[in-house]
Amino acid sequence: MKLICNEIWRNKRCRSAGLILITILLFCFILPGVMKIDPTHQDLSNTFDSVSFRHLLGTDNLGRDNFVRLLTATRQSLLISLSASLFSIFIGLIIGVTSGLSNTKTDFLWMRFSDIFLAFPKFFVFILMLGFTNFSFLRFIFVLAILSWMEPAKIIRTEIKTIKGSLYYQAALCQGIHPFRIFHTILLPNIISIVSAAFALQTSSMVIIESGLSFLGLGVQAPQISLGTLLNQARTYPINNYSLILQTGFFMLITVMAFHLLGDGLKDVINKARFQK
Amino acid sequence: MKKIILYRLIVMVSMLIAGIILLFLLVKIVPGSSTTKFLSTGFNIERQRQLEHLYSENQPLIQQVFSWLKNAAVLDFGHSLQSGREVTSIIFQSLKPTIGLILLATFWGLLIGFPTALLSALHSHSKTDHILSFIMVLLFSLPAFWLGLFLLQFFSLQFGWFPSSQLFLYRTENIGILRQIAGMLHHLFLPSFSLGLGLAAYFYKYFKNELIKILDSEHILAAKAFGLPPTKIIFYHVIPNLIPHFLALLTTITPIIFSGSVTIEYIFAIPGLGRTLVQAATARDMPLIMGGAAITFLLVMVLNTLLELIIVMINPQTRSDLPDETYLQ
Repeated sequence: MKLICNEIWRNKRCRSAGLILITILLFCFILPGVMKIDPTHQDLSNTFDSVSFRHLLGTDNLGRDNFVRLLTATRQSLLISLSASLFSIFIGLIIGVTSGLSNTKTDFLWMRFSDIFLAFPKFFVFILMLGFTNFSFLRFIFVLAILSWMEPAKIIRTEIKTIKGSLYYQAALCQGIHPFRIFHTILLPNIISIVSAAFALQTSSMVIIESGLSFLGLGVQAPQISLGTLLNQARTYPINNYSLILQTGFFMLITVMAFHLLGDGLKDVINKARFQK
Repeated sequence: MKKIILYRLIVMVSMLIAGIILLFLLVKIVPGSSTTKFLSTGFNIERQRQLEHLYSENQPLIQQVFSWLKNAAVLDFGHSLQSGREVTSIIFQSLKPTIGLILLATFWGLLIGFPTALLSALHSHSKTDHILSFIMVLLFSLPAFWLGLFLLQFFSLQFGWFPSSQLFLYRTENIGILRQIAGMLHHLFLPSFSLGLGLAAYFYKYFKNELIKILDSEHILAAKAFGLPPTKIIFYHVIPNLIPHFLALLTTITPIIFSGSVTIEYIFAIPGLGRTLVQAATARDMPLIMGGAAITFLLVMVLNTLLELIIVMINPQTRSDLPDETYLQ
C-alpha cells in the first residue's frame, strides 16, 4: 500500500492533480462555513461590486458575494458529479465483469447493448428524461449515471478478458474456488487500479455534462447553485460584465483539469508498473 | 466483402430497433404517466385524452412499445404540440444548420488538431511537445459552452467582429449566392470555432498516440533509409495510415458532437436541432423531443455503420481480425 502511494506521489501529473484537488476540496467544503457569508444574501446597494476585501471576487447583479457563490456552486457540482460517476462506475463494473466472464455470445450482446447507449446523443436523452419533471438530486444522478456507464464497462471488460487468459486465473478455476471468492480475491485487486483511473476521468467529464445541463436549465434549480447555473446567470448580464464568466470558467477549468490529470497520471503509473513486471 | 456488408446491415437494423425501444423505455422509467408529465397547466382534459390515444397510454406496455416502433419505422412521430406541424418535417428543417455547424466544427478540429499532433509526435518529449500538450489539456477541460460564451463576449460584443445571433437574417435580403454563403460562414464562425477547439484537443490526444506508433514503425524507417524527403514521407506514408484511425475516431465522436451542439446553438441562437429541442422541453412538447432524439439516434447509427464499412473497405487488415467474424460461420 505504501509502495503504491509512493509510486503515485512520484508521478508528476498525479502529484499536481492531487494537490489541486485537495485545495479545491478544502476550499469548497470548509471556507463557505468559515467565512459566514450566505451565498443567497442579497445586497441591492452593492450590485456589480469590484474586487475588494469584503467581497473577494466582487458581487453579482443582486449584490451576492461571487466568491462564496462560486465555492458553493463548485461544491454542488462536485457532489453531483462524484456520486454520479461512482454510480456509473458501479453499473460499468457489473456489466463489464459479466460480459468479460461470460461466453462469446452473451458478451457480444452486452457489447452491442452498450454500443446502442454510446450512439444515443446524450443531451437529447437528458432533455427527454429531465425536461419534464421537477428537479430531484437522486433522479439527476441516476439519469447522469445511466447514460454514461459504457466507457468504464468497456475498459473493465477488456481488463477481465486479459485476466481470464492468465495462468493464475485458470489455476483458481481448476481448484474449484467459489466464483464470488475468485471475484474478490483475483479479479477485483487486478482491476481496481484501472477502475480508479476510469473513475477520475469519468468525474472530469461528469462535471462538464452536469454544468452543461444546469446551464440549459435542466439540472440544478434556482435556490441551489452549480457552476452551470452560475454561467447561465452570467450570460444574461449587461455587456462588459464578463468577470463572472471568467471566474466560473476558471473554477470549472481547475476542477475538470485536476480530475483529468489525475486519471491520466494514474494510467501512466499503471502502465509503468506493468512494464516493470 | 458482401458478407461483411450484409452482416453489418443486419446488426445495424437490429441495434436500431433495440435502441428505439430503449429510448421509449428510458422515458418510461422517469415517474409519472407520459401524458400528465408532458401536459402543462394550460391543457384541458380533452387534450389529455387525445394524447393518451396518440401514445396508446391505456394499453399494456408491450402494445405501447409496438405502436411506438411501428410509427418510428415510417418516421411518423406525430404532430408537434406547439405548432401542430409534423415532427419529422420540423426536425429535418432544423437539422440543416446543425449539420453545417458540425461539419465546420470538425473542419476546425482537424485544422488545429492534426498539425499540432504531428508537431508533437515528431518532436516528442521536447519543449514544444510539453507546451502543446498543456494547451490541449486546457482546451480539453474547458466545456464548449464556456468557450462559446467567452468568444461571444469578446469577439462579438466587445470588438463586434462577428455577429452574435440571427443566422438566417440574410435569407430575407436579396443577395447573390456567394454572399449568402459568406454570410453564413461569418455567422457560423464563432459557434463552430468554440465547438471545434474542444474537438481539436480530442483529435490531438488521439492523433498523437497513433502518430507516434506510426512513426515508430518499420516502413517509415525504410522510407527514411531510402532518403525520401520528410514532407513526402508524411503525405504518402503517414497520413494514409492515419485515415482509418481517424474514421474510427469519428464513429465515437459523432454523438458527442451532436450533444455539444445543443449548448452552442442555445448560446448563439442558431435555429438548429438542439435549440429546437430545448425550446420544446420548456414548452412540454413531447412528440417533438421523442422524434428528435429518435431521428438523431438513427442518423448516428447509419453514419457509424457507413464509416465502419469504409474502414473495412480501405483497410484490409480489419477484414481478417474483425472480432465479430466468428458469428458469420
